[in-house]
Amino acid sequence: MSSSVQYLLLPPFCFEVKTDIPFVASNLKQVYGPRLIDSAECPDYFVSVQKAEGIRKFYRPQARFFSDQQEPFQPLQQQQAYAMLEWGMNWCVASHEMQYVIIHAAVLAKGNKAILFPAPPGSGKSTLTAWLAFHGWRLLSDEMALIQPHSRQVTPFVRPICLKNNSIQLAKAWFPEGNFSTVASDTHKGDVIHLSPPESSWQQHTEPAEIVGIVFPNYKVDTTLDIYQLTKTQGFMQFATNAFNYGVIGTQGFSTLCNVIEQVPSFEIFYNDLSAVSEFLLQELIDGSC
Amino acid sequence: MLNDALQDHVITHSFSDESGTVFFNQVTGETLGVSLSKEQLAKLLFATEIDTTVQPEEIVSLSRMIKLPLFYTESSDEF
Repeated sequence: MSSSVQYLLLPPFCFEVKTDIPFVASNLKQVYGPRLIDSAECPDYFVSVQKAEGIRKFYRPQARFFSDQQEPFQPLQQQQAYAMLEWGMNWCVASHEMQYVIIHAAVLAKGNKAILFPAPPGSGKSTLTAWLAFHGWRLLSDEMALIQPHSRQVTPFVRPICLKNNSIQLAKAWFPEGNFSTVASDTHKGDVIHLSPPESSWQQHTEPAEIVGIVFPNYKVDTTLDIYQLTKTQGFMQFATNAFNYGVIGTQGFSTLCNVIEQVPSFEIFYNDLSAVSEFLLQELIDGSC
Repeated sequence: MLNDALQDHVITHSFSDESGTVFFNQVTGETLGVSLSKEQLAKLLFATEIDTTVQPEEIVSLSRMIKLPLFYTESSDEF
């Protein structure tokens, strides 16, 4: 089969996406809708997900991801190709966009007031993100916060929300009308699916927001909501741990993180009640900020 | 005062809530946060004897970021 070439307009970036795997093309259409276009003038990244050649294709087909001539990952099972494309696009941005301080964090906002949720995998970050995004919050990113250096401004990079394992059934029950990708099973993160955020988040994908708080989420099955305010030193250290390019951009990254931490409160929360989290965020961080 | 005692390529920031100080090595990217304010760190630098309130692990890490009095670095070998 010949490869299809399409373009994803995801401000502030544009990706040329090439694939010869039909379900990758259909997932792109399902998840990105009108953001998937037939032509673009100057793509920032040229990515492709292609069927791997060789004898393996007869008994265990694989897919390979390329960004220009680079192949950053080992080939994966072909049924994981769409997830690999999403991870590959994340890799492109995290590895090259040094004009931002990039934090591994979800970003949600009310108006132009943004809250960062930096967290390692398994903390329930994406489940919380999906729930908030479909309950009146604006999604700026599920995976990475692009902070303008020496400011508190976050540039949106709206992308689908990556849900794993038990969260998949939860999200499908919560949002039966949602645009989901197909499931990639047995990945290094377990089973994975991508959920398109609500249209309102897509429509505001060029409007930056100002950070008013940082919340480190931890899902805990037996706790409704426990909140601990962190000291600035504790907040900084947790924040820096989740920074992708902090060590690379050096002084600029350090002073940006110090500046953010000085100006906004940071909390660690343990939760299983998502509406209680939303209420806390609204009262403590959105309404409480200037 | 603290700036004069920093190791090469290290920058620092003490937070306004006095919860502590963070250090960043611009070459290696190493980052360290300690629960000592700027004043506490200055006291440490000009101490004439070991401050036992500071955790031994903090001394070991701090010695990579600031030039501590010699008796700290010598005693840190024991930690």
